[in-house]
Amino acid sequence: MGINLKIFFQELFYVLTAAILLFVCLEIIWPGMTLAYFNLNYLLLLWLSDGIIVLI
Amino acid sequence: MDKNILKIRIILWLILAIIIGWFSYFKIVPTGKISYAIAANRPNYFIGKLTPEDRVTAGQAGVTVKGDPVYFSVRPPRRFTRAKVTVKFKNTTDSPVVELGLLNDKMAWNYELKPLQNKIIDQLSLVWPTVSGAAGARLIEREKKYNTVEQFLNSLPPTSEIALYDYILKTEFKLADYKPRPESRVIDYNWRGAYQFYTYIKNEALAYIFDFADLNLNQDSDPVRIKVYSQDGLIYEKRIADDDASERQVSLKITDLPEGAYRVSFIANDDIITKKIISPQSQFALINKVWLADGNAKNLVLYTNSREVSAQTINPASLSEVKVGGRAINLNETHKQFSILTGNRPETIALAKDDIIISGDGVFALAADSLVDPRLPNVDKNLEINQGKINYILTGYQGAKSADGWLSAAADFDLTKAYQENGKYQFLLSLPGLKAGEPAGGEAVIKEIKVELTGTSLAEKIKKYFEQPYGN
Repeated sequence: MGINLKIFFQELFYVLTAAILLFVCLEIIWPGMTLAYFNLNYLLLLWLSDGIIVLI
Repeated sequence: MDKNILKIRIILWLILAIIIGWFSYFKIVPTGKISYAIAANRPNYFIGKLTPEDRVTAGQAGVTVKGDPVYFSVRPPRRFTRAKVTVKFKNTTDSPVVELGLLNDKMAWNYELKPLQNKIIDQLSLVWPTVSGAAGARLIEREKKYNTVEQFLNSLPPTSEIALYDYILKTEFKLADYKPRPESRVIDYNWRGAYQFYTYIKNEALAYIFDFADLNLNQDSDPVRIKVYSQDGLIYEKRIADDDASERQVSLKITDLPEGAYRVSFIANDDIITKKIISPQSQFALINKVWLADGNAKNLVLYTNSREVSAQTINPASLSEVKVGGRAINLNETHKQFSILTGNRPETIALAKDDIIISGDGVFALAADSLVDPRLPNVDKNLEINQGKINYILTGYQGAKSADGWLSAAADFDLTKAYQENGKYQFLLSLPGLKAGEPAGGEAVIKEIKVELTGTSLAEKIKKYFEQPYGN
């Protein structure tokens, strides 16, 4: 179970990294596409927390 | 690879793909239709907050409007052709009219206004006989005489008995004693910014020469546009680009026009000062607003047919007393509009100083015999129905719907003609006569704003592309 959770957080980290990059790129190309619905700061916080969990 | 890892990976990436698909759907809007609704006190990315701050107060029930006008912006995710804006509001103020406008021309500060509420028409339609016609037109008559709107339009009563609201009625306007002048005259006053005026021609060319100067107070380009309108709409347009010269001149001459009144619109920003206007036409009546720039002759006299005259200045040196007939507006504060009701029509306005913005619901002229105004009276707070002997009101206004103690009214706008800046459209909510800091007799509260946008769908766009791949 512990190993599965670690794998989950690892996989989640990859997806969140991709999500941040994609959302930022989309926002640059089409302003308002993501920020109109979602504050990217929350995603950044989630990504950071996940990264810390993966490291410890 | 472990099956569990693969499952987790597929699920997580699928979630990301769905989120991106969801964002893309609301960006592209493939159906061509989308709507946004907000509580007025909770603006979002698409519908901005009501401004300016000193004219609104946000509360639990909504946003209270304290002064006229207030603005909000609408930022669509892509290009749309039409917008239907529905406003849920309450108006217990003395202001009988609530209107919604969309900015069409920023330089001319021209808003296309649509009615949300007109208490005068609402009340009159309860006591006067009302006839409904095609395309939502309504005829409200003091005494029952016409059975249909079409019958009324085919045999119009004297135009002095008709008032309009949200309706365009083409009527013949002729000046009985008008005679063309053989020579041109010079209107030697300095006018600031944009203005429009009525002129009149009979068996002559419509000819004007405008000498204007560029103050270059701001760094922006200062182009000038001149538009001439007949009763049927725009008939002439000329654009003069900013060529960095401080003094410029533009002339227009239109021949073979039928006798009648024409509206000339001089569209420029406040950096432009018209120094001189030369024309053979004797009639020159500025519509709704006069801004006599700094540097004019002192003790100016204007004539107006307005029922209410307002004065305002942004120049502390221009603070003075503006005499309107036998009464006076004490202009003792800058950036504040002071108003007074006129006693006679025409009424004289005596200005001791210049650089004052004079506005009203009628026209302003430099001579009493130049007050040419082909417009029929508008049904607003200034209309004197009994004194003015108004017997017929023709309107396209439908009235607001009432539910739960709130009124709800919608207005439809063409976005293809609208001005867009930074992806935003600018809307105006107007309650004429409502002034911040003055007793309003009640309150005007905006509860909700809903915007329904319609445009080309993705299927139509693809179809159009394959039909005309090179846009021919």
